[in-house]
Amino acid sequence: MLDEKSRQSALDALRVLDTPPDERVDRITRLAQQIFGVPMVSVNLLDRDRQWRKSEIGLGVREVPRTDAFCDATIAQTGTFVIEDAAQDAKWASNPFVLGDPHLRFYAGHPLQAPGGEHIGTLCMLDTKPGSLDESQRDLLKDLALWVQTELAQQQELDHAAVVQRALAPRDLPQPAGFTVTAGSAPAGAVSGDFHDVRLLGDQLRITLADVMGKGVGAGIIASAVRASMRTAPERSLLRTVREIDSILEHDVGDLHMFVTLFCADLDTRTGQVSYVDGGHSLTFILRTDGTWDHLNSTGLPLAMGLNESHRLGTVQLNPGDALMSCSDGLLDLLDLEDPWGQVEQTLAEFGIEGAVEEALRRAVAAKAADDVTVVVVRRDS
Amino acid sequence: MNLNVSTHAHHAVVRPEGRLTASGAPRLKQAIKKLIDDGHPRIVVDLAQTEFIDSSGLGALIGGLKAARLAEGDLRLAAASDSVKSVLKLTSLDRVLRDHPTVEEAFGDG
Repeated sequence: MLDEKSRQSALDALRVLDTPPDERVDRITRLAQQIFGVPMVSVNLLDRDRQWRKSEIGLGVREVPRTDAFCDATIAQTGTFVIEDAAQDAKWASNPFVLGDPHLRFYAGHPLQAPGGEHIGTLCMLDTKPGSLDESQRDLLKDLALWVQTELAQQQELDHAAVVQRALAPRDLPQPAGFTVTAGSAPAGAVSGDFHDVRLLGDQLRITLADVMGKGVGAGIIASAVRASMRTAPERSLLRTVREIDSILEHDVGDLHMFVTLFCADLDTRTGQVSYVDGGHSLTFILRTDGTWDHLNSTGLPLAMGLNESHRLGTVQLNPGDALMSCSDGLLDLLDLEDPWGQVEQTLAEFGIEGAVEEALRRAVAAKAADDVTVVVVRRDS
Repeated sequence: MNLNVSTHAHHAVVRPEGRLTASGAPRLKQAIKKLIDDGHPRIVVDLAQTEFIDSSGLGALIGGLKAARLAEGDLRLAAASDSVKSVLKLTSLDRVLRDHPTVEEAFGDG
C-alpha cells in the first residue's frame, strides 16, 4: 500500500526537484540508452500532480502531468514494470501517449527509492516499437536504478553537510568601535576543510583561521573539531589553547598523517596590539598605511604533528589605518604569482575592505578553485 | 609520480619523481613503511626530481618521519628545489624535515 503523503515528503526532503541537470545522473541515462538501444530514457520523479525529469534523453521536455503516466504504475509496485506492447495491452491501449503522440509501445521502468525506502520516481525507458527484457536485462535496469538513487541520496547528504557547515560559520562578525572586520569562505566542493572565526571577548578580538590538510568531508569534520576546541574555554591563553588542540588532534588523527595549519590571534581593541600563534600557516600579513606589507612568520609547526615541538607567541602592532589579512593557501592559487600582494592591495583599494573579501570569494567560485578559499581582514580605522 | 626505492649499507633512498600530491602520497607512505618494516629506518627522500609537493605530500613525509623516529631511525630530505624549500619554510616544517644538498650528505656517513 502506497502512502502518498510519506512518499511526497521523502521526495521533498531530497530537495532534487527543479534542480539543474547533474552530469553524474545524465551519465547513467546515456549508459542505459546505449545498453538497451532505446530512443528514450528518463529519470522521473513523481511530484504531486506532475512528473519531473532529473535527466532525459529523447523526450525533450522536463515536466509532464502525472495523469496517465506509466511511471505512476511503476512506483506502485516493488519490482521492474514492463509493458512489452502497449497497443496490445488491454489496460494501456487507450492511453493518450499510446493512442496519440508519441505512440509509445514499449515501456520498462524500475522504482527509485528515497533513503527511507519510499518510491519517489523511476528510471525508465520507452520505445515506439514493441520490446521485451530478459532476466539479465531486468537485473541490469535494476542496478542502474540503484545507481541513480545512490547519486541522488549522496548529493542530498553533501548538500545537508554544506548547510550544517554554513551554520557553523560566523554570521554576525563583531565590529568593535574603531575596527572593521570582514571574513568569508568558499569551499572547493560541498564542504570546506578551512574554518575561520572572529569573536569579541571583552576588549580582545580573537581571530582564528585554520586549514586542514586536504579538502572535502574528511577535512571538514576535523575543521569542526578545531572550531569547537577553539571556542571552548575562551579564557584560556592562546598558547594553551593551541597546545591543547594540538595534543587532541595528534591523538585523534595523527595516525592518518593529517595536519592542520592555524593562525590565531588576540587583538587588543584598546591598543591595537596583536598577540598571535601561527602553527605552520604563515599566510597572515599586515598592510601598512604606507603600502608596505609585514609578513607574520610562523611561530611553530602545524598542529597534529606529534613531534614535541612547542609554539611561541608572536606580537605585532596594528596602527590606525593598518589592516591585518589572513587567508588560506587556496587564495594564492587565484592570484597572479608575479605580483600577488600588489593584486591584493589593488583589490582592497578598488572594492574597499568589505567588498574585497566578497570579490576574492567571487573569483574563487568563478575560477572553480581547486582548493578551499578563506579570507579574514581586520582593519583598525582609528 | 614515479617512485624509486634503493637500499644501501647505512641508509635507504626514496626518490619521488614528478608531482607529490594526494594521488601519489599513499604510495610514498607505503614505500617508507615497507623500508622500516624491512629494517631500514634511516631514510633519505631524494627530492631532486620532485617538481611540486602539496599538503598531502607533506603529510606523507611527516608520517614517514614519525614512523622512522619510532623505529629509532630518521627521515631526511635531499636536493629539494627552491619552491619545495619555500613550502617547508612557510609551514615551519624545515625545522623537523631537514634538507641536505645531496643524498650522500643527508646522513653524513654514507
